[in-house]
Amino acid sequence: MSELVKRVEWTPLLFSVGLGCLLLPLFLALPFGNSPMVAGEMIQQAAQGVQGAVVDSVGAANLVTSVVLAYRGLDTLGELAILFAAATGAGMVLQSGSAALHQNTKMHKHIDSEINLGELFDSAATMLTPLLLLVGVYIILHGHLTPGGGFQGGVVVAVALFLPSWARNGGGQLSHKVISRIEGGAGASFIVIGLVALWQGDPFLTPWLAQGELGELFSAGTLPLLYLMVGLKVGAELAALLKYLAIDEQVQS
Amino acid sequence: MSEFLFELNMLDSLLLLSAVTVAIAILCRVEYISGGVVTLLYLAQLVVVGMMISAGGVFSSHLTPQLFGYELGWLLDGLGLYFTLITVGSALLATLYMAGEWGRRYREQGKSFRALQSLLALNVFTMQLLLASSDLLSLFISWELASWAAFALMALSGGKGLKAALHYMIYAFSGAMLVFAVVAWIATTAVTAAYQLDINGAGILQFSSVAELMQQGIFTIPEQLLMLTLLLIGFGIKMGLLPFHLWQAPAYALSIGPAGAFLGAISSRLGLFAIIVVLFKIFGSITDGSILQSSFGFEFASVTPKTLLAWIAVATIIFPTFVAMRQNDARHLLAWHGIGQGGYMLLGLVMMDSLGSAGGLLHVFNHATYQAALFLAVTSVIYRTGTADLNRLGGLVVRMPLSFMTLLIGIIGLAGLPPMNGFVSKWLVYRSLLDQGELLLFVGAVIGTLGTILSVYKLIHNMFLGSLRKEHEEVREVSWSMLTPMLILSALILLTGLFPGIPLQWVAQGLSAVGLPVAEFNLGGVMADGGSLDMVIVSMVLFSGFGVAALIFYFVGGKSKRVNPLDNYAGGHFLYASNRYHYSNNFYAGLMHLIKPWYKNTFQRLERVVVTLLELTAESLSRLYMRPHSNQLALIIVVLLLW
Amino acid sequence: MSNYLVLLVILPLLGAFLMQPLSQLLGSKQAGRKILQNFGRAVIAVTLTITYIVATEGEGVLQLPLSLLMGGFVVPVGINLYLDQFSLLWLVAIQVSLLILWPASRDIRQHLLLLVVAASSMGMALSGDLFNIYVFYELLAVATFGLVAQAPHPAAAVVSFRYLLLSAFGSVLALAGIAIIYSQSGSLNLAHLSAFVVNGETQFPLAAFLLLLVGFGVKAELFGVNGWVPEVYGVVSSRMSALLAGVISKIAVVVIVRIMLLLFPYPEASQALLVLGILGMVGGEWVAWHTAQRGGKLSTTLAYSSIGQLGMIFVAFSFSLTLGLFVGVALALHHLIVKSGLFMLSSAQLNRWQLGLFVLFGLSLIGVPPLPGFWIKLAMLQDLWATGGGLEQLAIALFLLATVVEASYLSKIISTQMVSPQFKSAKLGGNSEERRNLNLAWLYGILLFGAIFFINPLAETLHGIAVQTEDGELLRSVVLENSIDPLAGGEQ
Repeated sequence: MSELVKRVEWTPLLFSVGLGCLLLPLFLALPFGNSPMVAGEMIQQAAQGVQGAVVDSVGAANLVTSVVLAYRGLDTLGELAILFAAATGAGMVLQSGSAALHQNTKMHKHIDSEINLGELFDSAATMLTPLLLLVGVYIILHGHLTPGGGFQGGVVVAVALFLPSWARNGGGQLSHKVISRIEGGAGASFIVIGLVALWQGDPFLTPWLAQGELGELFSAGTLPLLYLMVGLKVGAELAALLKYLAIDEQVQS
Repeated sequence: MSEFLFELNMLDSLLLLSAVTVAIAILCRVEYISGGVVTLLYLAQLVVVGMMISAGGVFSSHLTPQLFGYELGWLLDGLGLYFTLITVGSALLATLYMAGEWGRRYREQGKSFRALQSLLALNVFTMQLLLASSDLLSLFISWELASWAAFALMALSGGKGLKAALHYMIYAFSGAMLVFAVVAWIATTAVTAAYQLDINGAGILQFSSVAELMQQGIFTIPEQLLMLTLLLIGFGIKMGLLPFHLWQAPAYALSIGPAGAFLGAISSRLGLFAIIVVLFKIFGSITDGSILQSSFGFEFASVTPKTLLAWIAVATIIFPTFVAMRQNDARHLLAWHGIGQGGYMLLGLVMMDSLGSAGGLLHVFNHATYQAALFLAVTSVIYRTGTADLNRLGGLVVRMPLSFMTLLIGIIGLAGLPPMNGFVSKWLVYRSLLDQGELLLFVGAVIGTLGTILSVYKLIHNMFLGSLRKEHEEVREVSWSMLTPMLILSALILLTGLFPGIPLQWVAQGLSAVGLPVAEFNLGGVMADGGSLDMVIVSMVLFSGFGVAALIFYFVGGKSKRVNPLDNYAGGHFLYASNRYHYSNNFYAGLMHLIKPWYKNTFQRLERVVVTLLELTAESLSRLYMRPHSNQLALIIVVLLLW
Repeated sequence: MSNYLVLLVILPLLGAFLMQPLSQLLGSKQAGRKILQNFGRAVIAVTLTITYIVATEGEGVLQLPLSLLMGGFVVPVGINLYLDQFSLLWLVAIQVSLLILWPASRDIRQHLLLLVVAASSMGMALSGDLFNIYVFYELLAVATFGLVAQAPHPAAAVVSFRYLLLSAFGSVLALAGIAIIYSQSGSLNLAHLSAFVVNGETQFPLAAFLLLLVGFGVKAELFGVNGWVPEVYGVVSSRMSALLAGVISKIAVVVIVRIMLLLFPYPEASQALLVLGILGMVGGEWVAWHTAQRGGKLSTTLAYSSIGQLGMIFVAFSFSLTLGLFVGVALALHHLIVKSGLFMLSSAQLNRWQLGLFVLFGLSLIGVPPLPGFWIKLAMLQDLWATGGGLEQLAIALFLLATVVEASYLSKIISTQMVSPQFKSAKLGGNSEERRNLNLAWLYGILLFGAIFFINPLAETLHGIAVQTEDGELLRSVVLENSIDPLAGGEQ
């Protein structure tokens, strides 16, 4: 306990706490106001099929999805790119140099064989991986119907992809080549889907494909496709990121 | 094409010629020819200027570019012509000096003769642009160009010279910024006024238009005073007015020989030109109700800006002259005198009567002649002996008699004694001071002259008189290429001293261009109500005195014999060559002992204060960035949110 | 055809996504590697062509701005891209600078991140939606984190991390600002919000502006959040510094100015800009002087100088509400060229010709006639004076003092360079990358020098741009026109 007292720097901590207390009421006093739901109403009108709605309906049961992928598709593309850039940057830092890139695959085998997390982990991993994969893909594919979608499902898929490489006899290295191809390909596909609309003479990211019936799996035009791409990309990226972190840990220890 | 050439009036031809000089100086790789060619070009320029002066009147250039919504123009009147004459003349003599042997040795030392020539030509060109400017914007632009050209010329000497040049640059640039602020101020107000009055705003910055605006009272009196102060400071820095004079002496002293002669002669006088333009053309100070003569009263006395300026001028005369006395390097000594003489010019002009202003303006010419002569003579000594240190020279009169003569004539001119030209301009200024009853100023000016006489005697004594040092036994006179300009200058000093009417004609043209009263000048001097001066008579009296003495010495009286200076004995001993019987170290020891406590280095301390203040703020600000202060950031947010 | 405008943002992103798979396919062969090296530049060249085509289509953007709806969804539900002369200017500036300053690195990921930088900065310049701007800003930030961390310096990762912290802090603030605006109006579209303001319904609180200012100001080297500048510039390569200081900071400034003009057209906002600008100017130049006095690294001095200059740009934009954007835009453009050139020259010891170039840049920076810097300074002083306030007069005095300080430290740098042995030789020193940098500086030098002779036409063009940008009515009419016609194809 006394060690804790010595190790913690008290002055800056107290200062920050004090400042935080000062900031809090100030923040609360900020004029956030009650927001008039201008855009929200427009979307709801569209979704409910009201005559003369300002925007068009996209046919997705999950309104959030319609906002994320249709009305604000460009933002989502931006977010995707942010994740991509962040992962790349992190990869650069963790790998420090492209030479390591090639040795990666070699290191895999060397390191993996040394990991021994125990029998329990190995068997659990073997059982959990397909389950995780299934759940993840389900979330991704049903993003336009139920809460979820590409980002959420993608995280689950990422874990699913990463888990086997930790298990000793789970087999399967996470090949960097495959990962980056999935990543790049998925990202490119997202853009290409948007570009197809451009080709057809409509603005970018206009949803094409038939809207179908509300609530069906095959509905809402290109939205599920977009979410699929998002999910794949996020999954691949995060898996690779986890891999880098793992290797980094190994290398350091 | 021929039509185009036909269209060129004399001003255009001058500017074109000047530009061609620059181009040739830069491009001509054959260095031993370029010296001669460039000299000829300067001669051509001088001829054109001479033609313009004799033709009289005003020349406006066809070059009127419209930039940024303002129309710029160039125009040479009597005042500008006067200064241009001096500029081109100094450049011609400096280049003549450089063209021959001096230039050869310079090149042998591995330095770039081409750079020197090019920068000199560039200086001349930009100065001509400045002297011919007819509106505020072209004035400022050429002012900046000329300042930077001068900087480049000073910086060429490298080492300590470079440091001095940088010191100059900071001063000059600060001054330029002050001027810039005023120009922008006037421009903004003038443009708005033009807009309201519905007149074309393009030519609004012409001197005449600005003067009109001033008279219409566009600016209140305090505003005018502020503007005037800023402009005077800005231009005064270049002129070396107190307290902004600290840069000038080292910068001129350490610049390359003939360049130093040029710079010392005319470069700082551009500040005076600009001040004249500001005071008389823009602010219209001649009229009684003008800003210069308006008094703002205190309880016990009322001070007019005119008085203030006069006192600053006198301070500029006195202080640098006494600093010059302490100098041991010949060039530094001369450079400090250069600062001091500027005070005379301003003093005369500020008096604003016919005699004083003539004296002030004439002093520009006179000073240029003897400053150039002195600098060239000193450069010759450096060329032969390798040093300008006054404690290491002596007795050169026997080896370099013509240089000695030049120096002697220059010194008499600098001191302001008849029959040299310096006497005329100083007499005019004194006369004006007495006429206006400014006794204190008169006394101040006289103290300055006293100091000048003392220190120039030190110069000539330590350098030329006394016993020759062993190491200088082999020294010879410099070659004709270097002697010619020196002799020309000496002759000029003498001639214009004897017949001051010639330069006074040019002065008269300059004065009338600005609106100052002009007196009646004749060949020998002036005929005015307060008193008259006829140099011819004065000189005749002087020479007859010398003549009588010469008669007695040479023809009547005992025979004289040439002796070796060591053929002597003192204190029972014969003299030995190994001992020095020349008193040069710590010259004026007695005087220095008396006035030493008065040398408080005040101005240097002032400068130091400003710099330290700057450093202090910079240091504390840098702390802001040195350590990452997260607390700081939070504080900033709090402040912002409270806002 | 004008729909293809979006490709300016999309193509670089596409290129970035595909770069790693491509490098695996082609990386083993010599020819493949060559393709990869030039891939980034090729993409930018394509986008530049598209820019030209779209801008000159029909009457051209010079007559009428262009507004594109993403996905054909009407504002304020959807996002729109807005192309007028102002954004066109910055688009061209970004692309040309990238083409010039593209590094010759072997690491594919650098190229990749730079493509992301291209996409995000162009997105920021084009986007007409507040949150979309924010997203692109974040994207830009993240990409720069990676690029900084990759710099060839031992402390690069640490510096990048500190930069990240500061930037994240700023982003939170910006988000808070956006939240305030959204909660008061329910819309995120700039034109829509501007209509709110103009119709007198809402006046968005100053706090929102300040939050946005500080948030976006991180990239714009605003006073208070520019602690990252000296560290980062001291670490990254010259080309990155030139990009960061020259181009990226300007985009951030431009975004802030747009927001201010459209959403916060009241004097308190301008005053905030003025005060922070003055503080930045004084702080930057003074500390630059201090660094030069102590003989610090050239890149550090230039970094502080950049802070100072951006402070001046903020001051110049502070009177844009009343007197227009001309001075600010001119100053920003001038700084872009000069700073990039200066950073290019900072890579190695200079010989006399290069030092002359340095002198040229320096002289234009402090405003010596007849260089363009002088004319801009004149215009700035005049406009500051015309505003008439006491604070503005203080700004004038400090501005002039700052230029003297600039002259002082620039001359110190130059005289230090003159003593180095490299100065004497006419040959080029340094390794091949450094030599290329020094050669690139000549490009900027020629541009600057050439501008002297085209002062009048340049001034006119910039005036035209400024006038069109200040016309809020034009923007609103062009953008909001589309909210009435649903799915009209998105073009005027």
